[in-house]
Amino acid sequence: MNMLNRRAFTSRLETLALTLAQQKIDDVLAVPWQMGQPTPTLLQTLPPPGPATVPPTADFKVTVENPTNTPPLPSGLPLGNDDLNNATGLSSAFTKQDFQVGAVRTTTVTKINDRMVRILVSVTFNYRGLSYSVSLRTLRAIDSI
Amino acid sequence: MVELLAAAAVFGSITVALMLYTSTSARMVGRNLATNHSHENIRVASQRIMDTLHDAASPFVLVNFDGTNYSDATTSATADVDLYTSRNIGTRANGVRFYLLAGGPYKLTQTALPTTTDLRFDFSSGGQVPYQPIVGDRIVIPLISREFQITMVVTAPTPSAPTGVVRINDTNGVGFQLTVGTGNCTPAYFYRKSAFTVYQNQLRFHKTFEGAAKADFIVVRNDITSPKPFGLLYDSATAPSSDGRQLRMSLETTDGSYSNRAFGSSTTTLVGVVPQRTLPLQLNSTD
Repeated sequence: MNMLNRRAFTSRLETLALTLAQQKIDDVLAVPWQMGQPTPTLLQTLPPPGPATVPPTADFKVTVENPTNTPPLPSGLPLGNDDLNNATGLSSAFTKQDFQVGAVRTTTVTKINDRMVRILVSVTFNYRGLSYSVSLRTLRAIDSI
Repeated sequence: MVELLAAAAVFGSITVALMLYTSTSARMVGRNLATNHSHENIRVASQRIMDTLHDAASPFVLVNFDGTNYSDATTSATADVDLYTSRNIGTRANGVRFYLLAGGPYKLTQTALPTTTDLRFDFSSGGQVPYQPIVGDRIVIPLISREFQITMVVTAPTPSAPTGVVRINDTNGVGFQLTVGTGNCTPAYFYRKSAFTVYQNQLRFHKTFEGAAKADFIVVRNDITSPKPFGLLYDSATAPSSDGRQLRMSLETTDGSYSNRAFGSSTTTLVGVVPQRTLPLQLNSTD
């Protein structure tokens, strides 16, 4: 029974993590990217660090979102209970009953060519000593034809 | 006598142990059900909301519903910062409205002069009329990059007579001459206001959020316990307005009927930020 409870809760956290990953995918798909304009920050990549490799590796950039929050907020991006929903008129009798877990969101943008990038978004969280990860991938092409 | 007392003690101990076991089991089953029910609500609600909001063709506008009236919410930035986007959240509301593509492309079937306000379209599609224009819908004519609101349906299309006439809100007319004839084709797209609202623990979807039809809705999920889950995002706490491009929702759900025991961790709160996926937005107006 304990295992069932754990799996039910883990499944719920994975849904919330998926939404968190989806939000970043939405961001990169919805940011305007026009020919002749600077590449939006979200889609920028950097040359690989270190000496040149043969064959050369693609330009990429990794962004890790793992904010340090004031306790009792967990470190990372919170999954579960919304601490901004506690004000009168926004909360209910059930607010703050869900256990909050901190997640780390990693976004990797890899350049395919001047008009297209590949994006991988991973959300990782720990629950009861185990690590869980949810990932989404997408391609983003420039808006100009 | 001693044997009877011993037997009673043993029997009593076993009974207490069994009761403790079944009570604990029942509680764990209840808690599991509560977790699963709130999880199910969030999954269905999030899929429906995101699927619909991604298709939104206009900026988001928050709506307040007090049980009788729907009114546009006057929102402003607050000091609350959304951790997912680092943007400030505006004052919350229990509804959000937006336009969705309702019909089209349909072609103009009668030449319109720059001063014409009544436009005639062929609304047929495969021998049927899947879209019926109503007052409040918006027309976008990509050829001239203009959008109008329908103020009157002069002639409603039917399957037997699929040509309909609609009146636009610009009393000066369409502004260009749109000639119909060989080699000329002017298509138009039609958009309709839709909305999500939360009231009486229900997440509701209003497919047509216009006039008396606002009161018609389908219940997406029950057991929604956050009274005002929707907010717009602002660039700062002092930003005068929001671009309406990102909707923040903080949807909280608890199983309030079947496993209503207020177990710890039985609530699920989905925090998400959803933008429109259409770029640029097909409609500039939010009216």
